[in-house]
Amino acid sequence: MQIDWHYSWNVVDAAAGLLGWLVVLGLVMRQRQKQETRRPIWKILFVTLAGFFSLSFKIPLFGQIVNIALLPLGLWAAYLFLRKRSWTEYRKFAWIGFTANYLFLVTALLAGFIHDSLYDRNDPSTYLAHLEKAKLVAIHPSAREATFEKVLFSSSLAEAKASDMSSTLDWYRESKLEDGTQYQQERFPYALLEAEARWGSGLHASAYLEADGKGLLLATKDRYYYYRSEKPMLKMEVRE
Amino acid sequence: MRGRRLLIVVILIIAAAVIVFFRTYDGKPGPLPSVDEIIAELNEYDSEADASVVLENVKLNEQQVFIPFVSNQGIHGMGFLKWENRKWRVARVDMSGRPEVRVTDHSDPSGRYVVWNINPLENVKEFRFYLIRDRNAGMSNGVYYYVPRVQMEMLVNVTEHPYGAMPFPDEWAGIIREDDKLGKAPAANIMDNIFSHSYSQPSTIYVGYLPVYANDASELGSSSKSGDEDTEFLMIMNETDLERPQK
Repeated sequence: MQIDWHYSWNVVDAAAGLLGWLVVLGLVMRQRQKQETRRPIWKILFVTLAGFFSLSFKIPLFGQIVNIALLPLGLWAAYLFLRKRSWTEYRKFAWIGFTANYLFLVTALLAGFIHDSLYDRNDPSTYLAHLEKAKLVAIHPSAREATFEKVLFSSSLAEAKASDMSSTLDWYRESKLEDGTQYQQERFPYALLEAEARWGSGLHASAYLEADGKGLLLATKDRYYYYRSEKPMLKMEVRE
Repeated sequence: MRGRRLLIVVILIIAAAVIVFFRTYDGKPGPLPSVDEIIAELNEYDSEADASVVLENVKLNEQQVFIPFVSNQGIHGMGFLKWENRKWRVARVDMSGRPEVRVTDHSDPSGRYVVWNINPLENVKEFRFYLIRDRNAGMSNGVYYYVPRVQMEMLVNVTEHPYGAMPFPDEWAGIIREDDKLGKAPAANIMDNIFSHSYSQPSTIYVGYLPVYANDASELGSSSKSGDEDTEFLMIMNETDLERPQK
């Protein structure tokens, strides 16, 4: 579990969430100062939290999935519960809670933009930033002897260029054609394990290396990336 | 009046907590029962076990022990003891002795063992265990994808080791862990999946085995297994399921 935490920690999202809650707390405190009858803080916070619950739906917006709050369910519940007794004193807090949904919508969008400007998703070194623990594993019998050298890998990674992936189906078919030269050969017979993404990005990619040592395939949750470099990224055994 | 009621509630809560604690608390594993006790417990758990000889106690981890045994009829079976609720208990008895995976830690792939107990008369020379993930490629939601094939091998000499427990190699555990990270749904609930373009891995990873027989031996007969929550079954593979690249 701890290892999990280390790489999936998205600092920007966490900061945005914290900021959002601090603003809500600030609004609540300001409203409390304004009102004449001061209700206990824990009750106020409870009503605010209740107001936060809503019927919402999710839509994709600017490349993110965001939550749009529609019906203030928590607010209605608070109203039914308090009705005659003290609703007028708590009403504003329940509404602050409901509005917080939109506040978090804004901070989430903002966090998305900031994250994109800090961490380039198209740059392979975002996903393979820390290679201290990296290990190369042959995952297929067609893999030749190869060794991973950090310096060599980093320098060729810096030069690697995004490459066309539209022929993935051909790669697949080549390995199935009995009379082809690639029959039962794996195009990416090496996996690079335990490389870590840039700190705070919350990103992760599985990395595979091509049989000639010059191609890199990254698999992330959203999509695949393919890079080619001029010189080999691995130290390949020389074929006799 | 109010004070007394509060006191009763507090006592009830503490009592409930104590009961829950003792029903779920496993405690520190004690010494293993003697061989005779193990045999008695296996036979009590499964009347068909009819165990007579315990071949070895193989400790898988602090709480789990693998007991390969032979029955009075000469059948080679496998028993599993688990330290639970402050006692060593029989978790499962398998009378086929065919390879299966024993999970000692559900959250960590390196806590997995291949276990087997084969009658030497069956003339199995070797078990070849494989970690397999099928190759996959195509386009989904406008994104091209390519999943490389995984085919990793682990050999066990059955002539020398008719029974045993082998942990998954580090490389296997690493690949499975990597596969899990991507396979885990990024969406927090079902609603997310309706709009989300997140891409789920279209290939699953599995472990299989291929028995290699001595020249004159007949193949292993069919057998059925039923497992408990710590059992994972192995696919029985054919030579044609494997890729044999020309180097």
